[in-house]
Amino acid sequence: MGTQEKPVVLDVRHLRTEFGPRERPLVAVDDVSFQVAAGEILGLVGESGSGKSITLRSILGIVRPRGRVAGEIRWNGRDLVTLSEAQLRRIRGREIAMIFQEPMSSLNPLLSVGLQISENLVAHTDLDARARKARAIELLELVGIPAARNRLDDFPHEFSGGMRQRVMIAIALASNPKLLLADEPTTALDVTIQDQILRLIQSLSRDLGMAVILVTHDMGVVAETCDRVAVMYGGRICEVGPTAAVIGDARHPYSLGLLRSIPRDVAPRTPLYSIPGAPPALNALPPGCAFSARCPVAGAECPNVRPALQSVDVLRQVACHHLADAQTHFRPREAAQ
Amino acid sequence: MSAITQSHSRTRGRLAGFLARAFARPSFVVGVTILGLSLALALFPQVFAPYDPLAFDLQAMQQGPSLTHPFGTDNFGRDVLSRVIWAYRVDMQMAFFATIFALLIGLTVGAFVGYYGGIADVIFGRCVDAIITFPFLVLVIAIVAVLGPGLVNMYVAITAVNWVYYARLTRAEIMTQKASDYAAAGRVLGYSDRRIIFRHLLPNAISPILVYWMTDMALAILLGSSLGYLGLGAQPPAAEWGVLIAEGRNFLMTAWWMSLMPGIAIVLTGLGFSLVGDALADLLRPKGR
Amino acid sequence: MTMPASASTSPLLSLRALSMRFEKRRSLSDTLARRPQQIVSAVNGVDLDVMPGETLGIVGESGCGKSTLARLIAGLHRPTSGDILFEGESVVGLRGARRRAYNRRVQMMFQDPYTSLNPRMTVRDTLREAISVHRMRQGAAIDLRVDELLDLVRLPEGAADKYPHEFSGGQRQRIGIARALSLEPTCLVADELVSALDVSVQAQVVNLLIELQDELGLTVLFVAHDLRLVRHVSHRVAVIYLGAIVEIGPSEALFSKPMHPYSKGLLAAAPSLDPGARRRAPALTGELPSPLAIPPGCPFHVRCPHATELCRRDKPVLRPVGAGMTACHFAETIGGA
Repeated sequence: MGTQEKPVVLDVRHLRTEFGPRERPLVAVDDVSFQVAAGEILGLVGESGSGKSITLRSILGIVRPRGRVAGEIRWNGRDLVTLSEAQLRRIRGREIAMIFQEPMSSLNPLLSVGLQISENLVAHTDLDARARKARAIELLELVGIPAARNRLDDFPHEFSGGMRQRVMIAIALASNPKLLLADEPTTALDVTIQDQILRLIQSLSRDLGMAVILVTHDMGVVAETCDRVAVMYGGRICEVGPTAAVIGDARHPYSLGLLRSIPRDVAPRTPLYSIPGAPPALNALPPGCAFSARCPVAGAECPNVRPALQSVDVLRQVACHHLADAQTHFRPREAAQ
Repeated sequence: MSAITQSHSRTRGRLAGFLARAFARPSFVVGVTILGLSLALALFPQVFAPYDPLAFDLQAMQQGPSLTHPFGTDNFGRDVLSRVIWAYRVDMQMAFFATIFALLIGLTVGAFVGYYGGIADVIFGRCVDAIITFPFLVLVIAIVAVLGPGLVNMYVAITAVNWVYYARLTRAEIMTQKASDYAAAGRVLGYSDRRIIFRHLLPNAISPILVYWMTDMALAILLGSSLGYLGLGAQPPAAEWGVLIAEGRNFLMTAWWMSLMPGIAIVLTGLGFSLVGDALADLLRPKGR
Repeated sequence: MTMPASASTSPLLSLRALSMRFEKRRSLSDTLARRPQQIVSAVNGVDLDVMPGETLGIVGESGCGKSTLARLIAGLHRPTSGDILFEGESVVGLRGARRRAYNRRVQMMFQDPYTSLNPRMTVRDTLREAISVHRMRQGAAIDLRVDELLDLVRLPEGAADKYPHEFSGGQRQRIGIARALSLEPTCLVADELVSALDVSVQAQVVNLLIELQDELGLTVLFVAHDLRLVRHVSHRVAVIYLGAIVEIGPSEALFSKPMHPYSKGLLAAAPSLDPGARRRAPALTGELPSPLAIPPGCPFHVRCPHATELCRRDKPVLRPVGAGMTACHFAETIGGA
C-alpha cells in the first residue's frame, strides 16, 4: 500500500495554476506537490473551489490557454509544464487518460460506441481494422458491459449512465495508459452504480498496474477506494497520507471537521458537528492559511502566515500551525459521543 | 415604512448600477446616442428641419448637396434634409406601432400557451405553422392589399403576422422558466396561476424578448420603408424614407442624393436599435451561479 | 431517540394505493407505426401513513420515484389513481381556496438552491409575498415576520434586501426553508434538501432542520439518497424501488438489520468511512430497470441474488417482518445480519 516499493510515475512539484489578469490573478491551485506510484490510487478530496479538479486538469494542460500553469510535473523523465500543446496531445489519451463526471457530454452522441473506441485505437496503436474490433470488444468486456459484441454499434444514448461511464473507461483504457485521471467519475451516479464503477477502477488499477488519481468530494469514496489521499482546501493541500491514517486519525482541523460533520456513530437527531461558514471564494483567500477563517483553533498568525506541509510521521504531512490544539479541540467531543 | 423606503433606495441603487454598467459599453453609448437623436428628430422635426418639407421651390430643383441644402433638393425643389428629418416622425412611429401590439399580443398568448400547454398549445402550434409557412413580406403585402394601403392598415397587417414570432419566443421562455423549481415553489405556496405567470415567470423570461423587440423595431423600419417604396405604406407627399427612396428612383443617375440620404437614415437608425439590443442582451442576462 | 407517540394518534398524512404514470410523448413516426403509447410508471401503488411529529425518510436510487412521490404529496402532480388523505380528508385535485388551505399546511423545499428561488426578487419580496397572499400577517407585522423568519433560519442581518445570487448555496437553502415556514405549515416535504451542498455545509442545514422541527413540532418527509443523513434525521424510513415501497420500518432497525435484499444491497453499496471494510466485488450487480417496463413478479428479482421461480411470478406484498414491513417472499430467511 505504501509508495516505497512501487516506482513513482508522476511527480508534481509546486504546481500553481492561475486564471484571470496577471496583475490580479485568481489562484486556483497554489503550491501543490504530490506523487503517484504505479498501481496506486491517490484520492484528491475537497469541496467546491478547493482546486481538486483544476489540479487534475493542470496535469494534462487542459486548463490552458485560459489558465496559466507553473511548477513542475515530472512524467517519464519529462516536465509536462514545459511541453507544447502538440507534444501534450501525444501524451493525452496515450500515456495518460482521463474520465469525467458527466459521461454523456464527454461521448460524441452521433458516433457509435465501437467507432469511438476504435478511433482511439487508430490514434494510439497500429492495429488493423479487424484487430481493432476485437480489441474494442475485449475492452468493453473488461469494463463489464454485458453482450459487448452486440453493443459496438449502439450509440451513447442507448446506454444508461453507469454503462456510459464504463464505456468512457473502456475508451480511456484503449491505449493502455499508465495513469488514469478520474474527475468525479461517480458523482452523477447512484450509490449502487457508483459502487460498481469504483470496484471496477480498483480492479483495473490492481490488474493493469495503472496509477489512478481520483478526484472526489466524498470521504466515503476515498475510504473505500484510495490507497493514499490528499485533502485539499482553497487550492492547497492541507493534509496528505495513507487513507486509513488520514480517515482514522486526521490531524488538520479541516479534515477533522469534515469527517466529524458526516453522521456516524452519533445518536440520531443530535446536532452534527458543522464547520461554520462556507468554502472561500478564490478572490477572497487570505495570504496565510486558507482555512483560517472557518478554523476553530486558528491563532492570530494563521490568516497571515502560510503553514508549510510538515511530516507528522513517515508517510504523512499536514499543513497547520496548531496541530496540538486541533487534537485537543476535537478529542473531547469524540469522547462525549 | 422604513423597510419600504429602504427597498426603494435599493432598487434605485440597482438601476444606477445597471446604467453605470450600460454606459461603460461603447456600443451601448453609440446606440443610445443614435436612438436619442432619432427620437428628438421624430418629436421636434420643426425645430431641426431648415425648410418646410412640402414646400416646392421650382427655382432649385435637383440641386446637389450644398451649404444651403446639405442633402440637396428633389425634383420639385423640396429640401431633402428637411424631408428626411420629417420622415423620422413617421418611421420612428412605424418602428413602435408596427411592433408594440405584436409584442403585447405575443407575450400574452405565448405566456398562456407556454404555461398551460395542452390543447391550446396544439392549436397555437398549428397557427404558427400556418403563418410562418408564408414568406413574411408576401403575407403582409397580401393583407395590406385586402385592407387597402395606408399606415394604419400596414400596422394591422404587420401585427397580424408578427405576433406569432413574439408568441413563439415567449412560449419557449415560459416553458423553460416553468420547469424551474421556483415556479413549482410558487404553486406549492398556493399562488394563483396569474400571479405565477406575471410576477414570477414573465420577469425572468422577458429579457430575450425585449432584445428581440429592439432588433424587430429596426426590421419594422425596413419593412415599413419597403412597403412605402411599393406604395402600400405611407402615402406621398408624406415624408417617409421608403417613399423618399421611391421618389428618387427615377433620378438615380442625375440626383443620387434623393435616394441615398434617406437610405443612410434607415441604416443609421437600424444600427442604433441593433446596438442597444445587443448591449441589453448582455446586460439583462441574469446573474448565474 | 424521541419517537413521537404514534400509536395513539391518527396519521397526519395517508397515501392509499397512490400511483402516478406519465405518458411519454409519442413521436409522429411512432404514431404512424402504431407503436403503443409508452408509459412511465413513476409511482406504483404506494400505501403509507405519516404520523404527526415524525420524520419519515424516503430513500432509493434516482428514477425510483421518490421525487415524484414528494411532488404528489405537495400537490404538484395529480395522481393517476389512489388517494392522498390529510387529516382524514382527500386532498387530490383540490382547487382554489381549498388547495391554498392545504398547501398552507403542507409545504415543500427543493433540491437545487440555484433554481428554487426567483432570481429577480429579494428575500424580503419573496417572503412578503408568501405571507401576504395567505394573509398570515397584516401591514407592518409583515416586515416584522420577515425579520423573525430570517432570524429563525439564522441568516445574517441585512439578508432581507439581497437577491438570491448574493448568497451561498447553503444560505439559499435556508431562504427556501424560511419561505416554507412563512406559512406556518404542519408538514414539510424536503426533496433532497442538502444533496447539492458541500459536505461541510450539509451538516449546518440538517442541524437547522432538526432543531426547527423539534421547536415547531413539524412533521417532515425527508427524501434523500444519502443514507447516512437519512438514518441520522429520520424516525422511520421507507425504501423505494421502482415506485413501490419494498421496506419500511423504524430507522435504527432498518439500517442495522435490513430485511429486504434491496435494502441490504443499497446499504452495503453506500461508501463506508471504514477503510478496513473494503470489498472487491460490488454490493449489488445490475441496474435499475427502466420504469417503462417494470418486470413482472417481484420488481427486484432481476438483480436479486436470492430470486426463485416464485419471485419471477408473484409480486410480494408489504407485510410485517421484524420491526417493520417488507415486501419480499423470503424476508425471514434473507433478512437481518
